[in-house]
Amino acid sequence: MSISATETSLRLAFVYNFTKFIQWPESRSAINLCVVGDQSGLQKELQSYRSTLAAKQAKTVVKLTVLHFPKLDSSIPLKQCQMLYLVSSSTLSSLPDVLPPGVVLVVNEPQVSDLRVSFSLIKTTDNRMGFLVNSAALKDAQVIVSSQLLTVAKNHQGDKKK
Amino acid sequence: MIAQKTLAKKIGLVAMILSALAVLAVSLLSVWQQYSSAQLQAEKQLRTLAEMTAFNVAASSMFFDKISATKVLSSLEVEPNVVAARLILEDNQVLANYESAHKNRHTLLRHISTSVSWQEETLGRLELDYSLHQLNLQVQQQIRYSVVAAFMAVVLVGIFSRILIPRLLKPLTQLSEVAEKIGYEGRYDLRVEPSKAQDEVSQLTRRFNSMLDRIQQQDQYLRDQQEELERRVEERTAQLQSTMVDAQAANKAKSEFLAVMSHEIRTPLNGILGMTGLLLETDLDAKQKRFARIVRSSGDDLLTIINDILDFSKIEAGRLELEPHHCQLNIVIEDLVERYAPMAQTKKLELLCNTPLPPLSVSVDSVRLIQVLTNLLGNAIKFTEYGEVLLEVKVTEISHQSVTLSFSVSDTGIGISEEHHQRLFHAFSQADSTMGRRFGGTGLGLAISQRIIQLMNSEIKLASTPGKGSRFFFDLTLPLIEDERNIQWVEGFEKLRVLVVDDNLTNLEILGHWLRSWRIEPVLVNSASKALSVLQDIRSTKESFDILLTDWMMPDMDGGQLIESVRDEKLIDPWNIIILSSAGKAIEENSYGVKRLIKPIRQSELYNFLAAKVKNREGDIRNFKTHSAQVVRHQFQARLLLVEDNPVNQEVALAMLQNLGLHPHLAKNGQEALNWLHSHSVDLVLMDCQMPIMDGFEATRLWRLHEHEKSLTALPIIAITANAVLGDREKCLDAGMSDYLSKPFNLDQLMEVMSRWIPCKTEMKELFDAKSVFDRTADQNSPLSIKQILNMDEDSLMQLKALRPGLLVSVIDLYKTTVPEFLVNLEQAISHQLADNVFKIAHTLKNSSAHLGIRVLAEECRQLEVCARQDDLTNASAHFQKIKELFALSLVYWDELRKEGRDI
Repeated sequence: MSISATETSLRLAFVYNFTKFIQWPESRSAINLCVVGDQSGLQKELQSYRSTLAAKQAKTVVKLTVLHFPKLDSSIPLKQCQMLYLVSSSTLSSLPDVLPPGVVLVVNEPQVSDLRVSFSLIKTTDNRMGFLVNSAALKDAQVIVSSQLLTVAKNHQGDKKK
Repeated sequence: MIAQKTLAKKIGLVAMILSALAVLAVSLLSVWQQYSSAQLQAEKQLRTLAEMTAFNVAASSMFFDKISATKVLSSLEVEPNVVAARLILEDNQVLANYESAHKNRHTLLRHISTSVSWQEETLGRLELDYSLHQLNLQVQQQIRYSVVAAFMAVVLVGIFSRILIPRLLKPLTQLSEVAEKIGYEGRYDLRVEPSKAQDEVSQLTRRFNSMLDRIQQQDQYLRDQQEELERRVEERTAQLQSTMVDAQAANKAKSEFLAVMSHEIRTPLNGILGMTGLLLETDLDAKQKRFARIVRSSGDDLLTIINDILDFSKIEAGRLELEPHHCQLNIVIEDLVERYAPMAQTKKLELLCNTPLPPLSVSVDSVRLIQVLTNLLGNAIKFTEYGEVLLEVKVTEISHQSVTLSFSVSDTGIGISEEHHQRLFHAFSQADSTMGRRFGGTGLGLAISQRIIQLMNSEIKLASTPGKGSRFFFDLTLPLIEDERNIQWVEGFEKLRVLVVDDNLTNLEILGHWLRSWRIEPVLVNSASKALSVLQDIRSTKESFDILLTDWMMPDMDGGQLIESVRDEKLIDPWNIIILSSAGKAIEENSYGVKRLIKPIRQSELYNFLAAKVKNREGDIRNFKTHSAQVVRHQFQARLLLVEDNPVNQEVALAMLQNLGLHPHLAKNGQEALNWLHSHSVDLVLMDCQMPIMDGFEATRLWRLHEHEKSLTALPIIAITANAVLGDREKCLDAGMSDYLSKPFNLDQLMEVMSRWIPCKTEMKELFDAKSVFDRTADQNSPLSIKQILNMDEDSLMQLKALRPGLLVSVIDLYKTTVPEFLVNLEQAISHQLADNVFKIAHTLKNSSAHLGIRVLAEECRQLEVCARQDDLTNASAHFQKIKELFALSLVYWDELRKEGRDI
């Protein structure tokens, strides 16, 4: 997975990598990643991503299942989504104010600070992909995040100091 | 260098070296172990660090966060060993890099590579470059510490060695010092104080002390033994000294007894022999002559026995001393053999003599040599009944200075068995006890001969086969004397054709050898018939022999028959025939009117005959005279004093002297003699030694004293003594006597001694004639004018005088007594035209005169010598007259010189 890959696929990779550093309250052998959005080409990316993922997860214990939802509606079983990725931040408003425990919300480029968003995927000034971590949201989601991940986050304290 | 160090220093040095090596080895081992451990530890830590860092960069790798990754790698700077680090992703893209600020300081880099992964997902790898430079620096520092520690160990060991080792070795040092004292001073009472320790040195000390105990005991034992031995030696020495004194006394008594007995026996024997000799010269009938001859013969035998006993006594006392002098060996040997020719002839034995060629002159005690050969020759003739006796002298080795001669006496007599060989040379012992009864003799002769030859550094040996004969032989190495009289000129000899006839093969061989040595190739035949045949054969070739040498006594045809046949057939000129005959056959042989040589033939006579033949002087050959054994009795003219107390001896001596034309005054003791000498002029004294009132020794001593005080010329005093014992001759000469005559003596012995000191009548007459010549020519008889006439070389006289006091006088006296005889012989040689003899005599006379500085006389002799060498005797008589006159003048010169009291 290179940074020269398409942005969509890169963002999907980041989301996927987040799963590796997060420990959900109940031990799980499978995690559902619910991708919400209908941008063009997303479907194709997901399809490609799934096949890549299938190859990768052959050796892993925890299986990741990618579920695609074109739009955020009530049909989405939020409780089933351990990781909810909103391709577009505009759909945030459609979410309930309080997310069920165990749901980690990942949003692309959110406009405003939203306490429900755990990870915000952003582009850095040098046009590189980065992410911000909201510890409160993670606490609300009742998951434990590896410190390793925190050190990489752009809003990490150490990074800020720097 | 190390070997010269003390033991303490050696031990110290070894300890220092071993300590240093041990400390260094242990230190280095420890450093190496620490280094290995530290290296492992460091690498382990670095690997852990790498793994931790790899874990920390897992998220960065996953999210491609270069900044975060670089930040994590930068944390490696806390570890100084890490030089560089690289985070490389799966696609080999380097995400982050780290380099130490001191990278250039490190040279030898090592590498660690660890995987970067998250939850079993490999994300990349972390490569770490590290260096153990710091660790190496620490190791080097450790090594330096080790070296310093080793050095300190050496110093410490050295210091402690100097203090402790000498203490440890102190007992050994003490041991060494004590051993040195014992070695140098022999103090076996010293001991080494043993230490309390029970170590090896202490054991050595105790054992050393034990050894000293043993040595001291043995030393004491040896000292005791030595003292005991010294005590015994002293006792024995005292006993021996006592015994030696007794033995010396006994020996002295024996010598005195021997002297007395000798004197007592010789005195009557002198009377017996002297009177018998005189009796034989009177008119006696045949029976009386036979009785007188037996008496004379028995007396001679008795004298021989006494002489043998005296000789043996001298040898036993170690007083027999050799007196070597110059002698013509060939003549001495031939004289000896000639004396035995009649004895051999009596027994019909062939007596042969083979002497060296060319003739030799050597330095030897000829009297003793002749004594030995006489004994051997006498025995050979005595124990040989038929056959031959050969005396042979051969040169076995010769150099410029010496000659080794092999003397042998061979016979065809009874021989001696092997078991009797050694006994033969023992005193009073003969080969067989029956021999003494059969042949007589004391058995001393061979023992004396052996001892004489042993004194000459040789030994008489014997080779004998019983029934076939014996051969006694010995070798002598003698100094060789150059003597011109031995020169033989053999030019022209090779042209002579000589036929030799002798049935005796040995003689034939000897003659052949001589002739071949003179370059003649003779024809040798062993019978008259063969000689006749040879002569007849050669006549057919119109040639002939120059000389025929023939034996007389031959089987079948003797010499006489051969001469008759030769004469009848005119095979050879009778003047060229020489008969080799025995003395007893002379009259018979002379009837043939040919020349003869008496056997055993003298080499010189044969040579002279051949030389005359070569010179082709027939007259010489016709007048050729062979040597004759007849003794010419000289007549003396001198004033003589005879000093003798014994009436018998007086009678014998007076009779003998009268036979020599002398009428001496008689004195009965030394005192009477001295009284006579003080008042009368005397030319010679015959002095007995043992006399009452004053003996001959004392009288001589007093007279010599008188001569010295008055500066008189030494008077010849001849000792007559019957004491022919040890030291008698020396005693006479010490007393100042001039010569020595042992009783009993015969007329010939008396004449021989007399002729040495006074001239005979004919010589004196000639001398007086010569003096009258001088009287006619010289003016005033002054020594100065005679000296001028003789052209005296006084330097030569001074040189002789400086050599030894009295030598000049002795030489002058010798010259005065010997020259007259030379002159007589010279005159005879000139009259017989014997150039060789003239040459030899003139040569001798020239040398004698030159020694005494009589230059003119020496020159005259030299001229005559030259003429004789050239075989030209035309002016020889004139030279002879001149020589006689000059000799007379020299006598006047010496006499006048003495009268004037000049110191010579």
